[in-house]
Amino acid sequence: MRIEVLRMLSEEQRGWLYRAVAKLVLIDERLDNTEQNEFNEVMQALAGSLDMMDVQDLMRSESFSRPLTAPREITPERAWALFVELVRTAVVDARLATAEKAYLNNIMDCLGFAELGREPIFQWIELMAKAHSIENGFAVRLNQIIPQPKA
Amino acid sequence: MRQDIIAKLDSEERNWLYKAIGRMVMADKKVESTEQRILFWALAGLAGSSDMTAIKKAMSSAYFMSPFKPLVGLPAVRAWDIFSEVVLTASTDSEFSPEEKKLLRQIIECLGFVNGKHELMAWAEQMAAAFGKEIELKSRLDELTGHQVNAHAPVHIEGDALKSDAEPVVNPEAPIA
Repeated sequence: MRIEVLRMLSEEQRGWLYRAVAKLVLIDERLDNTEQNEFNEVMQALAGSLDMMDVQDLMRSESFSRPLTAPREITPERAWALFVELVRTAVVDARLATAEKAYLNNIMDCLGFAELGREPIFQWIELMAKAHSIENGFAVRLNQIIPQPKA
Repeated sequence: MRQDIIAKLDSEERNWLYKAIGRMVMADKKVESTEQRILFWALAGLAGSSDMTAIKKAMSSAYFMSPFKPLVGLPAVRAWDIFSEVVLTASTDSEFSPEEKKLLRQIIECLGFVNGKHELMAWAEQMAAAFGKEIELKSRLDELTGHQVNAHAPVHIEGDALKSDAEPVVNPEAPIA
């Protein structure tokens, strides 16, 4: 997640974002390398460590399991910032699973987004996913685009 | 900027990245409202402080203004981290200006990319287009949420572009709770 975004959030909003990101990553069921860093980051923040016992305790806890409700007195700008950060995490693996799409729809309900504008929002999300797909392609063939001298 | 990427870099690589982000944001001589926070963080990172005097000093320093130099012995994976971070952070306009394209090409050269340079530029432009769409959606937040929001407020670099409500009041190096 982006430092400049995390810094502008209140503690409550940051906690909300961490929970939302953790739930999103868990929904995907397939934790690939691109998502691992995000997952570690939120687990470190929420559970205080990456110890498997601590992470499992957190995931079983009531505070983590209960459904997300919007942070108190959130402005539309801040709601948008939270949503964008969540989307950036959702598309980092370059694909948007049906369950993730449904989850983002629920998040938009939660943050008070109107039904009307969701189509262009999902078009934008697809655009982001495509761009990340190309990015991930570069990362895979890195030794071709930056040949390294032999040791 | 992504914390996990920043954490992987040594101080020389980090400063190189901060400079690249700062120069990219400022390349077209105007700083959009969405870019103010990014510019602040890049310069604060370079200055090692969020103090405005230190930031302005970093912005006018010889290091910041000088042409990019290759990072000696930079591993490919780190070059990619830096390049992707520059693109993901600094390409928040919907399209690149000629100055930004020129700068991005210099960055590609200095990071040691040999093949696929056109594809890298094309990807950067695609990413910028996606971010442009994001900005466009933000400008329609009133439609999306029933409230009025001003997403477009370009601020010129000259003057007090950095003295805005986007200015964080915390130490950029301090851990986030």
